Amino acid sequence: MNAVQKQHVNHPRTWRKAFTGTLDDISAAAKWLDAIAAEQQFPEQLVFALQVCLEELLTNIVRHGGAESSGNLSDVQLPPLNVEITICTSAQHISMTIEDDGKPFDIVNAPAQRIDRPLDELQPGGLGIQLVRNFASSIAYAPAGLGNRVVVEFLL
Amino acid sequence: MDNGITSVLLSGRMDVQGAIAIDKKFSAIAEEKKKVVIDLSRVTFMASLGIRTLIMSCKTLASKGGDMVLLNPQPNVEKVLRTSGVDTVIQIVPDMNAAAAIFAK
Repeated sequence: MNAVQKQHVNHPRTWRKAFTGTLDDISAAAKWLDAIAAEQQFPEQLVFALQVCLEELLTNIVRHGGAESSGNLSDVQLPPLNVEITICTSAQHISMTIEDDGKPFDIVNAPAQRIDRPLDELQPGGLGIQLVRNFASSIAYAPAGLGNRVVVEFLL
Repeated sequence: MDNGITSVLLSGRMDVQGAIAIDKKFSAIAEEKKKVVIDLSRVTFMASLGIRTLIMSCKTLASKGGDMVLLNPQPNVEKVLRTSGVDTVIQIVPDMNAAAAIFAK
């Protein structure tokens, strides 16, 4: 890690913000994360990995978190779910915690899918979980906080 | 293009909002065209719903004997495509000559 990249890890910091489980708030959360990353001069690849995990975890909440969710984006639960995102930096890693009050969903033990069959046999689904597992250094789930708590960590 | 190849230039984020924005246009292209190149050089972000749009369009093309090729993705976007295995069903190429060679087979 060079001096510029190291700048943000000298002083542990925490950012926390509440969002809702809506498409608009997926975009709002991405912009919030980008602003923190720019201010803290996170390395580009780390920002991309954080953004992939944020997008996939929030999309999952919006599509599947509601009691009556069908998986369709046009069928978002109203009133929307509550979501809280916390980002913490320390000397060794950055963690992103996402809590929601939707249906219990243990992403750690959920089936992931990689495309490994012919095109005509492919069914969509599970790709997001696969991406989170690959882009984060670690992932943990607990039924805590608002209801579901997922913590993804990224080593520096 | 006069070689029967349709080139589609995408730019920006292929996130949930990006996928929604292009879904219908991609469906229409997949219904109407046969050889389609998706130029990803200006796409800065790709997530699973963006991948879903690509896969569903490619399935439509393949069902009528067509094909899709992904052109010149940025390194982070290419990592997403390869991590999820997209490259096993849609070829990723560095330039238009390579794309044309695939369609010529």
